[in-house]
Amino acid sequence: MGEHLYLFLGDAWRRERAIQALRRKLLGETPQPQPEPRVLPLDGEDFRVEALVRALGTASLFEESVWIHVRRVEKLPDAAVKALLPHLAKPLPPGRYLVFEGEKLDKRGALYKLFAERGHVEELPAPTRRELPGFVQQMLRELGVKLPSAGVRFLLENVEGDLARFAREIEKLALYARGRGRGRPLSLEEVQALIFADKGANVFAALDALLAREPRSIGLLKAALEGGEEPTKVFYLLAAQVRRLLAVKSLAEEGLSAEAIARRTGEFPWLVKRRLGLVRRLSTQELVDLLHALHEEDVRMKRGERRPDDALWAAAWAWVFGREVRTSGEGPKPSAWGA
Amino acid sequence: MSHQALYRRWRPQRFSDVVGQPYTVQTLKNAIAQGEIAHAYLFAGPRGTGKTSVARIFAKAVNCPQPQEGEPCNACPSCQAIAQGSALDVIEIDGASNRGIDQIRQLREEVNFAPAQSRYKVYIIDEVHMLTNEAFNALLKTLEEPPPHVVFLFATTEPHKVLPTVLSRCQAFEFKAISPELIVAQLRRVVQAEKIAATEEALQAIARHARGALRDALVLLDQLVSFKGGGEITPDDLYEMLGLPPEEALDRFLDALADRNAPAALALLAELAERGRDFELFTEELLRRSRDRLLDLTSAPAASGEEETALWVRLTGELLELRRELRYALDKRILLEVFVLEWTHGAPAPAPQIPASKAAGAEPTAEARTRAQPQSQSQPQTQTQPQAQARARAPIPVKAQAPVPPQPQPEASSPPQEPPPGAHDAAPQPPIARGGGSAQGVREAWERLLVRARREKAALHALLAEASPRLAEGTLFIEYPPDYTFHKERLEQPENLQIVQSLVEEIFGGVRLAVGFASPSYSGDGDSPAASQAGSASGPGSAEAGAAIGPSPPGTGRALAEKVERVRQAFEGKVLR
Repeated sequence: MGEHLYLFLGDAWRRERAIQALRRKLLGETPQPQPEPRVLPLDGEDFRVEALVRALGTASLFEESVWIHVRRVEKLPDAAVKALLPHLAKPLPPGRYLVFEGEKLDKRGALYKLFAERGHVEELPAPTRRELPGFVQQMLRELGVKLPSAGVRFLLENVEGDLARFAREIEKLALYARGRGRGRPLSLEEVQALIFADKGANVFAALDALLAREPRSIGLLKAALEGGEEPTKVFYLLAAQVRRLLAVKSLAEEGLSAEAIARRTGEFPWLVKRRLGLVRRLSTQELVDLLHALHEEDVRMKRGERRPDDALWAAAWAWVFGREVRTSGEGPKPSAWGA
Repeated sequence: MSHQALYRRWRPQRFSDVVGQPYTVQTLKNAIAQGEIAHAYLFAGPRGTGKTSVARIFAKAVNCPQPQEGEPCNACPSCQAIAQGSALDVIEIDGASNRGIDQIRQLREEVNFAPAQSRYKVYIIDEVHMLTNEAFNALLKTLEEPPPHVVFLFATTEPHKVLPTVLSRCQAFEFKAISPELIVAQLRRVVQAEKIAATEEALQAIARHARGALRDALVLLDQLVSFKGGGEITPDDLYEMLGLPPEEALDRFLDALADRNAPAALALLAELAERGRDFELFTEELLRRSRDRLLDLTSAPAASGEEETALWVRLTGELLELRRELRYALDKRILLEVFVLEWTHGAPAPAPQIPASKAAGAEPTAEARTRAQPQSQSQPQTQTQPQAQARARAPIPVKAQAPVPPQPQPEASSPPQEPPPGAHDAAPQPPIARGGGSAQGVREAWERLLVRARREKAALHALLAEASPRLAEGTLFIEYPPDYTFHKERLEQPENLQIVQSLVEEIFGGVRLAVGFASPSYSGDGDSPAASQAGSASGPGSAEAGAAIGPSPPGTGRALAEKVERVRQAFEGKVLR
């Protein structure tokens, strides 16, 4: 059994959970109920070695334990690490828990080695796309939130970032759900209204319809823009979607299955299937032409010839209705995007 | 007592007063009712949708000793102090003017102090996206482990500018734009309570122009009350106050364009000019309205044909382009008038291709259709494009009075096809002989010139399309009917003439160029040396009549003209001499 020296690295939410679990475990180990430990929070960026040394060396007045919590370990300056190492190399006084956490730490570094040799290191990497649904389902279960499968997909597709973001969103869903009685699943509409979609959920609905050349996409696009979406962001999301479609199409043409493509691209399998359904109706040439056309609009935007919303509309009309909007002075061009 | 703006008087004081954000409000109420208060919230959404109002209600509710199902009581000293803005523990910070690290450091120190009077110390930071990265990072440390008595409420219109690390520590809510129906309903409540006389149409117009922002709608209503001074508010008052064209005028103009009715559209432009309307704003509104009509068509496809949709797609696209051009135009009215003439007399843009598979036969060029029209009206219509049909339906009144006698027309069944881009360079046509070609040869060359002109500059093509060519004694006469002064003058502008000269040199060879009015007795024979006299019309070789540019040495003149034109286009400039 090593010293009470703990190092947690990786995803912030997983670290938080692991540290909470450790705290419960350590406090539950003692035969008598323990008072809450005194917490000394420190930060790697403005680290004060003397504060840590003082906490390690001073006996507790009432025998309570001291929980020294150092965040953002990756920001610790070299000088601080150097000054810290001799103190950490000595056995810790009783009732002292030293918890270091951060996103990453060099495994070849002295600090990491010290924790690995004398204490405990827990690596908690951010989940991959394939692992993410499992984590999200676990969070939903823990908070008693029931969602339709389309709602879970919506959540997974539209929230970006670390697991903490998912945790916050699920907490919010749980709060909303509690007001309407436990056990009842939320509807997709409710999920869509409540989720804070980093990537703009309504934008994606509009872009999907747009790429499928559905005329209703124009209305969806208008609603998204009037709802406050940035035209520039939507424009580049459209370009990114086209690139994704091209990637999926080329892999499918190589003979890869949807599952294999999902593995290769790191996308959710159902998303790959949806994209495959779309690209079957489109030729590679059409997609390449669309990408070129978006590039042209991009250049016009950067030259100040087009406003971002105009560029977006021009591209959308051209694609959906098979018409190229002329640019001044160029005269007509044969439509390259004909349906 | 001083006047308090409507939007302030009608600012919601309870969650149930908030308009259009039911899910957000319900979740926040549940959080308060169950005592599950997060330490940081982010309210994001367009302006005027209730972010700051909800933040203030939330601040009241978390500090209210007797909240009722999550709602603040609005009666206790805490609620009243917060409502009056005198509460010590509710601190509102404008992120735009307190965006530096020093302000955030100060805030970090302050948060450690316990609240003076309330349960929670609430920090409302408006426009939080304006904080610098350093300030965000400083804030992040507080957000990672905030004191239990502190709640942060961030409001922003641009959530994508908030650091993801900050976002992941907040419970984020998206405030949606409020629907026009809900805005109208709220306006109705306000006008009834405030005893303001306003028509239902006026309320709808206000809601439409508020674009999802209730605050904007109330501000507009307030302004209209002052503007009207007690009388009944109508939609026209709103348009008058904002300098906007009425919806009805927009519809009238669009209908005129759709029907190819140039006089009606031009008359409306004149009317707007008389009333001092801003043409750029008019075009902006026109584009919005055109897009709305297109949306109506696409959302009810059964009620409209593909051709009608295609017409509106094309018109909307042209308006989009017009708006771009208008930004650089010195005389916006003229540009709009040219646009009207261009559109009504043969829009230069390619025809929509929906669906391409259903398009029957080859598409005649716009000018060929225009010229072939008198003959083709009695023939079975083979054109599938909506503009061709619309043109066939609608008279072209401007052209009807042109005194130019009918000229021999190319066969309607074999219209000249526009060559694909680059095809012209690949297979150049021989220039017409300097001494004058046959009538047929001149017309074919003229058609080629029109096609090239359309590619060079759409407006120029529209001007040339109304003219007739005549080649005599080494001079190409571009002749207009006597009442086409506008066209002639526009063509004579140096930047247009430069391009025409360059094209004439390319297609007709080294001939002189003259622009003038056609004589009523003109026979239409391209070989006829008859002088084209009308007003200041030019005779062959008469440099002072009309505009005439002598031939340049082959190659050098054209290259120079092209360079000049490129420079002019790059700088949106004007050739002075």
